[in-house]
Amino acid sequence: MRYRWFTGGWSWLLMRITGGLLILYLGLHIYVLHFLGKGGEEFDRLMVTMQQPIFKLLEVGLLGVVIYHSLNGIRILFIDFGRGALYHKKLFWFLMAIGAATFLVGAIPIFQHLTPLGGER
Amino acid sequence: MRDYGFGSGGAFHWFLQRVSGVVLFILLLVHFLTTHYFPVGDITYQKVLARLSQPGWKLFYMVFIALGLYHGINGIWIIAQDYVARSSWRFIILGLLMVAGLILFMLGSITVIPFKA
Repeated sequence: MRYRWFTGGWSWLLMRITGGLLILYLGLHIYVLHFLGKGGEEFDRLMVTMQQPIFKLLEVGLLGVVIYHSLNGIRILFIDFGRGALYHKKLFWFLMAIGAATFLVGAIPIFQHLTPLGGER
Repeated sequence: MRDYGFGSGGAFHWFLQRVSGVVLFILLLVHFLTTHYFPVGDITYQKVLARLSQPGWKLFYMVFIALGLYHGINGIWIIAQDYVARSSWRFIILGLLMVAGLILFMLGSITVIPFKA
């Protein structure tokens, strides 16, 4: 099979890859959070582990994946239910700009162990 | 044998994939904001307890889990149908996906529903 790699093709492939990553994460997320049923001490120990840099990095990665999948999903809605096919490339880059800004705003607090409001850790 | 692909409710799932996507977008926004950005600081058992002991939040998360699993598993199914042509393989894949989804849904349910202070 031969593909012509333009905006539509890349965004389609990335949608599948991010979708696959997200369902893997959801399965893992549901599994890890079932430790809530084992009581506070065990859960808090688990949450301390999650503060390690590698998990912070994965968390930021997750944020990026979620933002891409959401925004490209919005683009797909415009194409399927509106007249998005006429301007889907422009729409893609417009949404990606919004996504990049959202990513920065969302990722910095995760790395700083802080929230946008500041305050205690 | 029944063909597990075109003409077997595909358009309905195509539509539901979009509807569930929109709902998930809103639920995910609420989920991210309430768990990661407000309240301030790290996630602790006490903070999860404060939310998840309320019936409204239990309902929120049951809907979230169900829709998330539907959307995700339907997504894998859509991809699988692009690469797997034989209906016997499709049948096996669909079966495995449904079983995996059901197990994860039950695991989520036994976490969310009985959780109390």
